[in-house]
Amino acid sequence: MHLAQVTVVMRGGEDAKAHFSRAIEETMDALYTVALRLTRNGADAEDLVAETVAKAWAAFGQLEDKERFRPWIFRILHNSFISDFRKKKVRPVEESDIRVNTCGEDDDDIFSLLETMPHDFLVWWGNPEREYVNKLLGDDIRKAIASLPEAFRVTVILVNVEGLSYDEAAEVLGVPPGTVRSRMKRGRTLLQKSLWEQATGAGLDVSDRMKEGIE
Amino acid sequence: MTDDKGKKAVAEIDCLQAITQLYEYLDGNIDEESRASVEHHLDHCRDCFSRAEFERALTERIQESQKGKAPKSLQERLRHLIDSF
Repeated sequence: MHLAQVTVVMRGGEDAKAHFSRAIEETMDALYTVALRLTRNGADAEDLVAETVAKAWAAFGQLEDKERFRPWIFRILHNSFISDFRKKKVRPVEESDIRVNTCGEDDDDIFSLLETMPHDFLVWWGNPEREYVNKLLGDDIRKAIASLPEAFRVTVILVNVEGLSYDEAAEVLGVPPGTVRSRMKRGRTLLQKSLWEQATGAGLDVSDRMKEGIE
Repeated sequence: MTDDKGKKAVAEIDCLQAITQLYEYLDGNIDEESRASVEHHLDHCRDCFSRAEFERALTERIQESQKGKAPKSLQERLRHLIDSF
């Protein structure tokens, strides 16, 4: 029997399709956010989300605990990206693809902006009240995130942006929780290194920004 | 271990131990006992407190810069897809 023909009565008398539809409405933005970080192309991200939703509906009857919909569908999205999507991807990457030199998963080298940059710069940098600067720094962070190797990028997005626990992110990615823990540490280190390289690199002068912040 | 008022004593940790557990603490993925130890250390160490505040601010900036909204075209596509099920 096709799943669409099965009326599973959910809590509160809601049928399976209505429940699924509501769950998709609630997770649509998050699915697109993660898909965009994986594919780095808007059209590919839309295709990946649509493919994920189709697969999720086909398997929805097997999801015993409907409260776990969010990590469950993220896992389908990630698996779809790994197994099908990456192989047939033809569209170019839209975001900048700056690579940070050191990206070994087991590298224990910890880089902290706080220990590297002057305190005054960080106070200025962390100030969210200046719209122009805020936009500029938003771009800095987007570039830094885009520069992370895929494994670190998706882990940081799942935990820091979508609020999944380490255990849930581990379930999504099919890795042990300890790997999520180490990827978070390494991902944040690489992110800060990339922000530092951008701040001191082409066209960006830390001392000018710092002066601007102090004045 | 309990103190003389019967409360559970907080295990004291040094800066290295606090920084090692900082991301787990900020991400809310830490057990109760370790959380109490990290908080106790941050309450008493200005350098580690500054580091924690900076990391917290950076996480907020990451969230702000990365939160996306599904485009209208995708919203429509998914509604049609679900209608077809």
